Amino acid sequence: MKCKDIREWLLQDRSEENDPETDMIMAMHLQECADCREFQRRLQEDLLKPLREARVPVPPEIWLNIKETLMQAELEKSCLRPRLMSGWFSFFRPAYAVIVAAVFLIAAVLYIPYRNQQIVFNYFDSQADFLLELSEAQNGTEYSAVDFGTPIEEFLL
Amino acid sequence: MTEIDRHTIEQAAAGDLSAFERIYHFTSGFVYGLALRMVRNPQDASEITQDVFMKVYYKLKDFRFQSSLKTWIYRIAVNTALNARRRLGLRRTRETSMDDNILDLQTAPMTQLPCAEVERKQRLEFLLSRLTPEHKTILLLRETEGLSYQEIADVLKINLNTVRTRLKRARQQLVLLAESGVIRNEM
Repeated sequence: MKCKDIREWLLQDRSEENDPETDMIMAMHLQECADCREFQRRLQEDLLKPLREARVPVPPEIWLNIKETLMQAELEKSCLRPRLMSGWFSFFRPAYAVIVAAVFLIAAVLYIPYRNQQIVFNYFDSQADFLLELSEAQNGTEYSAVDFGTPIEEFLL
Repeated sequence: MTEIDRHTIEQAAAGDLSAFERIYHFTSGFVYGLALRMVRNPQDASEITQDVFMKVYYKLKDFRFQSSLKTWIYRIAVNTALNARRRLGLRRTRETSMDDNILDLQTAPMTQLPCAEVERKQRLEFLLSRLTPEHKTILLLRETEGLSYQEIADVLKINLNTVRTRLKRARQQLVLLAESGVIRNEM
């Protein structure tokens, strides 16, 4: 195995690879080859180890700024919208609209036949009254609301 | 804590600031570190970190638990940092000496470290500044954050083989830069 191939392997992160044969070849080569051992040491110690330890302390004011901004935004939101109603309108808004539409639709479907029925009943009532009045006027039994014009007009008839 | 629990995420999504603070403390190290190494300026890095966590706070209610929260936040952080880097016009990325010194002072209390350690850290920061954003990001995700290949693939939205190849190339680039005269000549 050439040093070039071993260095290619060393550059690969083999911690997630399950290839004991390759690992054994590499280990044997590294035992014999001082140059490759030095390459591995430089890669791991000088380049990758500092990277693993390169955690950066986060300035505390970042969280304070975020918290302040979020609290400010929440305050503005609560001022714009009454808190009591916010729950109703913020959650499931489409579902809420569908429920309202369904209620209106059901009310309309129930009301329309009732309204038509009322119109028909009113018409029957008025016709019945008219026929009754006509028959009473014909019999002359009772004063009728059915007239044929003014008294003069009636006389001329 | 290796992962943020579902209850904390749900509480934060419902607007609980103390739950959100726990999420922030768990993930802010990576977000700030990545931003700092991308833009190489502590003030810009702070702004990017704030931007990331504002996005996280407002988008948390849309989080569907299909990936881990850490991966989800890292993805937002990587995208925001890369966009910020482009927006800032790379004005600082190739200007090295001055900002490197600022960055080095920010990243660790150097006075407490031995000289060799300080030199090694400075050297590494310098080398990182020479890498492409893609190589730098993948090295930080793997080496600093210790993400698995699968997690890196999820964060960067690339497949596993691309993760392997890109990581290898990033290391190759790092070694080449270290072995070339770039440090001796420019540092």
